[in-house]
Amino acid sequence: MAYSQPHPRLSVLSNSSHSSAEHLSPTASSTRFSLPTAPSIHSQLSTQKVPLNRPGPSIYDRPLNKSRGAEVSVSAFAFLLSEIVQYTQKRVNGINDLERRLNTLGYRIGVRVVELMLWRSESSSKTPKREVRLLPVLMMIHSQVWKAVFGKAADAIEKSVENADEYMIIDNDPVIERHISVPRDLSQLSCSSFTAGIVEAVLDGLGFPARVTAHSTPLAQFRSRTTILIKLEKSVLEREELFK
Amino acid sequence: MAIFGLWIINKAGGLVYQRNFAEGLAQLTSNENLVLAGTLHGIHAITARLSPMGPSSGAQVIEGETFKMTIFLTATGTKFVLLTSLNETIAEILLQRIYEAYADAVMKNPFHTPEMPIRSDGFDTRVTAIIGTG
Amino acid sequence: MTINSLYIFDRHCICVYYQDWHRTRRPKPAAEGGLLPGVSQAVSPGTSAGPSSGFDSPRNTLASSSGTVVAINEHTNPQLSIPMAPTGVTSTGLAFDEEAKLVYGVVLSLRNMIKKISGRDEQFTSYRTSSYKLHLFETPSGYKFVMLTDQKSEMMRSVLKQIYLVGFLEFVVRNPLIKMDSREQGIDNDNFRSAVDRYVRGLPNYN
Repeated sequence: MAYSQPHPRLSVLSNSSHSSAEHLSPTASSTRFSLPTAPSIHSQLSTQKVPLNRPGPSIYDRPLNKSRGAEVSVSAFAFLLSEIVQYTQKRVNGINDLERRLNTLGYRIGVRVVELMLWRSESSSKTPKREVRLLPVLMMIHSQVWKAVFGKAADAIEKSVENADEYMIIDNDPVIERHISVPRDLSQLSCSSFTAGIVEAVLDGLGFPARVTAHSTPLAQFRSRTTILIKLEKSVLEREELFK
Repeated sequence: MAIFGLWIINKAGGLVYQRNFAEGLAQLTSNENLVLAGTLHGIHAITARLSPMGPSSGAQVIEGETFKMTIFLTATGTKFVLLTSLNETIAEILLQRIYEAYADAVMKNPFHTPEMPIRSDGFDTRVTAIIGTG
Repeated sequence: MTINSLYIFDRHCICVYYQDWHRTRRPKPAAEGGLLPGVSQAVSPGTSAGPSSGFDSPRNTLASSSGTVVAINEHTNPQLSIPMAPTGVTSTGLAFDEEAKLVYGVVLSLRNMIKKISGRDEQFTSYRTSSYKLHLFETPSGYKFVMLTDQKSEMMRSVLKQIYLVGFLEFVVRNPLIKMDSREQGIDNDNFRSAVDRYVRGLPNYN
């Protein structure tokens, strides 16, 4: 049922008190995803010749498969993220609300990441494959997604001993937290909620719906060590049972 | 060779960061430090006008008999002041590194408000690392 | 290496003497009443007004050709006045009395600041900017000798102390015609000025 409608997390503006009616309302979702009203102009523009004084093709004209040289400056990203957090912080009440909105923003990135990553890795393959088992998917997130987004793999995957439906991805030095010092009065906040949103979207996109949250778990040598906690939906675990 | 303290003064002359390292200078209250920073801000502007030989920056090094203040002015008007012993030769280099840490840990931190006092654990850690190895 | 200017302030924050060497940015002459007589001819009010009226000084009988002038005299002895730098001289846009007040203000503030930060009776000695360096020497009686040099010059306190010992004590303190601490007169006189000039021109970093 969740896939017949656009996922509620795709909207930044969604309220914390989602009513189920809103989820199911076609009007609500259609307004959120209205297309640009003048596509004809866009198509005309894109056929025009690129002016000569441009240094190179824009990112829309570059081949999607080429990722080398397409990295973004960490500083530029840090400033952007800083503004995102400040902007969001002004518009929320409390830490939970802030984390949820960051998660939502991350979700919008995650859905694109999973699409692009699979395109890049599988499109040229003669036998493109799709992961259907949980552990390979988690491994893929830990290494491939992390590399695609942060340029390095995460540091560990752990399975909860208490709850069978909980898995953790641990990053000792998350790129997005590198320049962030959370003030004491917000000590519960983890800006990696943004990352959690990305992970949630990737899992969703691969058919593993889950609830993903971020928690700060500092160690003496890794001040900003963060645990991404994945709580899978029951249906996923049931399906895993069937595969055995 | 000793490093006594670090001040960061915003472009309006307000002290936004102050830290002591080695002992050797008077222990001042935060209010006294605020006043001194404001004074330094004013003096700095005047010293640029007193040049006998063409245009000049403001004061870069101020020396007493046992210590000196090295002042680094950024393009945006923020002043970094390092209080060291007279024979400290790398004060300028340290200030450059502190400025870099400031750019990273303060300006990229979403919980910092520009021109306001700096409360950032990340910056504290970076400064400790720089002064410690300096 | 260059020496640019010398200011002497007394303990009443008043500029009592000024002399300079190859300054390329000069102050405008002091405003009327802004500067004591007998500080420096070059920057006194009315310097640019053409010929001097030496008669308004009651002591100008001393300005005879029969002897050396040893006490103040504002507008005589042009040979000892500061040679104007030939070209490229710009103005600081400040009148000299304002400039002197700024110099004094900076020196006094820094002196207090150094004392405050050190927590003891420590002297402020110098500061430097990208283009010049200011040195301070203060006597126990509160006279402040301030010298501006290029920014590469080493400590000039010994030089200032020497000016104090050789020039100031000799030709100001021991000169009965100088009213010290008067708040009315500067301490300018030909012997002092030429002694300072000779001494400074002989320094290795004079140029």
